[in-house]
Amino acid sequence: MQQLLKKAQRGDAQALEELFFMHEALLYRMAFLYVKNEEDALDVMQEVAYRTFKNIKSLKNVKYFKTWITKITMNCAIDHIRQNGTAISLQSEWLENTKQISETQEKEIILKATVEDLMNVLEVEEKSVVILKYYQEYSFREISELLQLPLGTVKTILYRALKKLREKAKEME
Amino acid sequence: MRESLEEKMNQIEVPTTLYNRCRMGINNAKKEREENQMNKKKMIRTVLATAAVAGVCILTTGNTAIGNTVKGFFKDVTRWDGAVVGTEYLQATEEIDMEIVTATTENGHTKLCLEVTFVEKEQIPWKYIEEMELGSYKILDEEGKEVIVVENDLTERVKGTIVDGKTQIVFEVEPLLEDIEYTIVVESMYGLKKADAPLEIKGNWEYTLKVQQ
Repeated sequence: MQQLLKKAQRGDAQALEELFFMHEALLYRMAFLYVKNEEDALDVMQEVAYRTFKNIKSLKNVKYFKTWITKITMNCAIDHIRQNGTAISLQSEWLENTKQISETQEKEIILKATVEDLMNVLEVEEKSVVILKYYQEYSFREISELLQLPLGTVKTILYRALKKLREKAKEME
Repeated sequence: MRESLEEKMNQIEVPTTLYNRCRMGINNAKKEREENQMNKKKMIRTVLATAAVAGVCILTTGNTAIGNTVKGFFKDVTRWDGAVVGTEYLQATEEIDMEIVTATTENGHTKLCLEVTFVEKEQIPWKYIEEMELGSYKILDEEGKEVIVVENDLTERVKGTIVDGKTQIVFEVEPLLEDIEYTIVVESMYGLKKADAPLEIKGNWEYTLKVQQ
């Protein structure tokens, strides 16, 4: 994998293609969560592939390839939603819900949440944080750097997302 | 928890057409790169030819008052299927002045301050731009070798707010050596205005810089 990354950054198109296609399913599923349908998710992925190949030289350290391509996917998905006229509240007013949720409760909430819940209940920034925390397993600090949000804001967004998912799960019981 | 979310995410079916759609994106990027390289060569030939003609005009007419009349222009950005997805502003070199005002070493990085000035701040598009973001650039050493290349780094764009047609953009690069005269070549910037898509502004701005202690 490291060899592939180094070759890709040196401009080896074959290596870059191989790397990209190793991640395409994961990235597609992320894109789908944002845009909620297959056709738009495919549009997003085409743009992700295009930007990855156009901008590979801007990746300063090959060990961050996955983080870099994850960020491209999120940006493309959000750009796509914007272009199609759906309002996105990137700076929406955070509920001051800093009440801590225990790890046990977190597990329970994520276990009960369905893909439909993730797609339809959560706002864009909430999806981003949930995917990065529980699917890509980034730390809060890494998420804060990736999304360029303060650490406290990332935590608030996550707890708000978990609260929404918990309430949705209760409705279904 | 990852396994649980992974199982749920795996319920999202990946269509068989995904590979081909990604392949189209990759092919478009490759095609654009080839076209850019051809255009650069064409532009160099055109500039050289123009310079040669200008040289001949000076020789034959003795007229040295040849101003640089190369002006920028807007161009549509089209998608793979022909749909117009944006606009860019090309040949803007003569419409923006740039200067590296400081270059210092801090915390193991080189910190640069780039001052950007609109030559004609009341003209379009400059009068509408509220912020400027740095796009693609490279830094060459004294032998002209590329030591740093940044091409539209989506993850780390830096910007400055325009005040009276001017701004300063501060950014960090990998450490450069002191006492060497480097050249920074800026190839694109982005003009930002609230609620509008960024306007990519392309040109060729070249300036020398030397890192101070």
